[in-house]
Amino acid sequence: MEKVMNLNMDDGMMKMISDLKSMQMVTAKIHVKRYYHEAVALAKKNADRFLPYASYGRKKLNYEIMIRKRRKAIVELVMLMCEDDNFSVINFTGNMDRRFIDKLASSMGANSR
Amino acid sequence: MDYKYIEQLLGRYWQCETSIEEEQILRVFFSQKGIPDDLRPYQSLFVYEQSLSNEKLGEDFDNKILERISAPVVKARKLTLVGRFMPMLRAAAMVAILFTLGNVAQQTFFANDKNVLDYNYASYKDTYSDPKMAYEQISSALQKVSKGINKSHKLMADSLHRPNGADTGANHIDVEE
Repeated sequence: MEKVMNLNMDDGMMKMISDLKSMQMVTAKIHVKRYYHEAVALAKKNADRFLPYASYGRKKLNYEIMIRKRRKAIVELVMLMCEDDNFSVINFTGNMDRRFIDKLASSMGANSR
Repeated sequence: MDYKYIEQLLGRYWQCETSIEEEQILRVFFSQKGIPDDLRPYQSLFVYEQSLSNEKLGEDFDNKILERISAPVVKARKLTLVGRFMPMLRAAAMVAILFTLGNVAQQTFFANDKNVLDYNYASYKDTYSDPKMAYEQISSALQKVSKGINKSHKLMADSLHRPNGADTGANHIDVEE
C-alpha cells in the first residue's frame, strides 16, 4: 500500500486507499457456486467475527458483504461474489468507517450499477 | 518491780481467757515506757492498735476511690455527614476496586478475539512488485465492492416501493457509527 500511495493517481481513489492496510483477492473460475456457498457458510459460522453488511442474490449474481468492527472502526471488509463463471473473495483491512463505504458506493459505484 | 500479775494476764491472754477489762490493763501497761526486757517482745502486739488509730485517711482518699470505681466517661464526638457515611463509602470503594480489577482481568485474559486485529502484515508477500499493477488491482477490487454495495442499496430502495414487500433478494444492515 505504501508504494501505491506514492503514485500520482486520482485523489479520491488515493484518499480511499490511504485508509486501507491490505487487500487480498482470491478468484476461481471452477466450482463457482460451490465455493460461494461454502464461503458464505464459513462466514456465517464465524458470525461473532464478521457482521453481515449487505447481500444481494439473484440467479446469476450473488454478493455477500461482511465487515469486522473494532469499537467504532471497520477494520475488515470481506465481499463474496458469485457471478456466472467467476467466484471472488475480496478482503480489505484498514481503518474504514461508514463514510468510507458511502464514498466507495457513491464515487465508484455510479458507473458500476 | 513484780510483773507477776502482768505475766498471769498474758498467760490468760494466750488462752483467750482474758476479759475486756484485763486486756485493757495489758494495753495500758505496754503503752508506757520502761517495759522490762523479758516483756518487751509483747509490746508491739498491744500497742499497734493505738498507732494504727492515729492513722487517718488523706483528703484525696475519696477522690482516689471514686476514680477507681467510677465508670469511664465517654466523651461525645461530633459526627459529620461524611463521617456518618464513611463505612459505607469505604465498602463502595472496595467494591469499585474489585469490579475494576475484575474487568481488567477479564479484558486481559478473556478478551474476545474478534476485537483483536490479528493480522501479521509483516508476513504478507506482495503479489505485484509494480505499484501501478497493484493500484489497478485495488481499483478493480474497490469497484467490485462498490458494485455489490450499490446493487444491494438499489434493490433495497426498490423493495420499499413494492406494494407487497416482495423479497428482492437484497438485504442491508446499517453500520452504527
